Amino acid sequence: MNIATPTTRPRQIPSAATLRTRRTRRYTRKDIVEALVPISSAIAVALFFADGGA
Amino acid sequence: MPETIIGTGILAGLVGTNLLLIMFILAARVPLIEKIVGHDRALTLHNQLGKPVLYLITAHFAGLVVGTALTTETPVIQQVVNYWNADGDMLKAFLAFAGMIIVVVSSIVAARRVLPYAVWHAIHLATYAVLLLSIPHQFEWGGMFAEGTAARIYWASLFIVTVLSVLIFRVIVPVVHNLRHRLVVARVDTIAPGVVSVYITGRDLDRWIFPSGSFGQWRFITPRMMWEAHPFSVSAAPNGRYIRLTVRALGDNTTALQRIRVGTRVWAEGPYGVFTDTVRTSPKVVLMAAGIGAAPIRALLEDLPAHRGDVTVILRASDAEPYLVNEITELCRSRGAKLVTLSGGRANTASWLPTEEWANGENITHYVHKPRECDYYICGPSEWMANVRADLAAHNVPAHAVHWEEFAW
Repeated sequence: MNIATPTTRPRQIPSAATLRTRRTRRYTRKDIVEALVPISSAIAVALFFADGGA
Repeated sequence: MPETIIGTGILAGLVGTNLLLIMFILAARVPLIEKIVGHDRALTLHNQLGKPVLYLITAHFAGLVVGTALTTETPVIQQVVNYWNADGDMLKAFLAFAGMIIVVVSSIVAARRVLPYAVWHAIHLATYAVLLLSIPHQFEWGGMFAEGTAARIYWASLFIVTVLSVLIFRVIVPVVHNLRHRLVVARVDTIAPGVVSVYITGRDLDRWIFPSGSFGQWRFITPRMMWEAHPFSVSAAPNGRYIRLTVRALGDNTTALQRIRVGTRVWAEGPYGVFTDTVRTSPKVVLMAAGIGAAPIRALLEDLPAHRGDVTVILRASDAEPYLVNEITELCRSRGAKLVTLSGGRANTASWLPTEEWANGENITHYVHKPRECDYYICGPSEWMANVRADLAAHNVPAHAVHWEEFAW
């Protein structure tokens, strides 16, 4: 196998707008995923009481 | 009073089951979750939920036993026996509870240090059995799936999403990928004593891309190594011809990997992780590596989109020259990147610098012009990365510009 010459070329540089968007977008999505735990737990509790509790 | 105890027990069981299902989804390697929070963060969340789930299910068990014992004026022990003898489904629930205790205890840090990965993994797979064993008693005794309730829709949806996530992303996708691409070791190069680069080829590799900075779970199919999959970052940018891993001998399996034979079949899962160009937020980038952390840094340097002069590479080694330093030097030259190598023992446990540089009062500003305007990709031992992050935070580098990843299992 010839591995001496990498064929990889650097890809296109992200635009300033793309980079700027990433600064906030990633954290918003991340927050949503991390909120899965409390939100789903709250739903489970709410459904328990909605159906009359014990 | 007994009704309140029983109600609290049921509620604890519902929240505990809910969290257990979320745990499964977090560990299912769902691409969307991996992409957003990263593999390590998803598994950290997964691990953090283990004890709360155990406590909640224990409260569920205790609440129902004590509450029912009070209602029927039965001794608590007798009530446990009554539940045990109730029917087959309740017996399964008992077994699920016992299995959960074993799984959580085996996952406690102290136990994980003692247990070999293969043993821990085998015990952990029992979690699927725990889930399956716990479901039937819900139908017979619980209200989760009671007809005509909103709860039925919620719980059925959550169970279906969980099962599909595990089935698709832990079973079907890896099987399809590996059967299609048929990975095999094509070449092994010794980079330094105890460090090898393994080149893996396969069919249609241009259709199975491991981006620079990403990692996979790699299982080498030999009688000795096939029982464990290990997380290794790729050390070369995707090129459609081979996947390159650079591995240092740190344990039994990685030591055996130093002598892996050409032609050995490889079973892979991935790519995982967010240590890639997709999270970058600035035109200027600093790539920082210590030890074998140079592997993903080499891959990133190879194809990171950047203007000449916009990339700085800082390589750290404790004694000899940094791993892959010749290749990285050549890549820096061709890409117009600045290279800094720092060798020597660490000054102290709070420092990421060698003794001499630390004594001179150096920090990130000595190597990077306007550090707040750069993104940082950091890869190395956990403590070293923590010290780098502390230095960056001390110089007001925003958190969103600092990228690192821990290998987690």
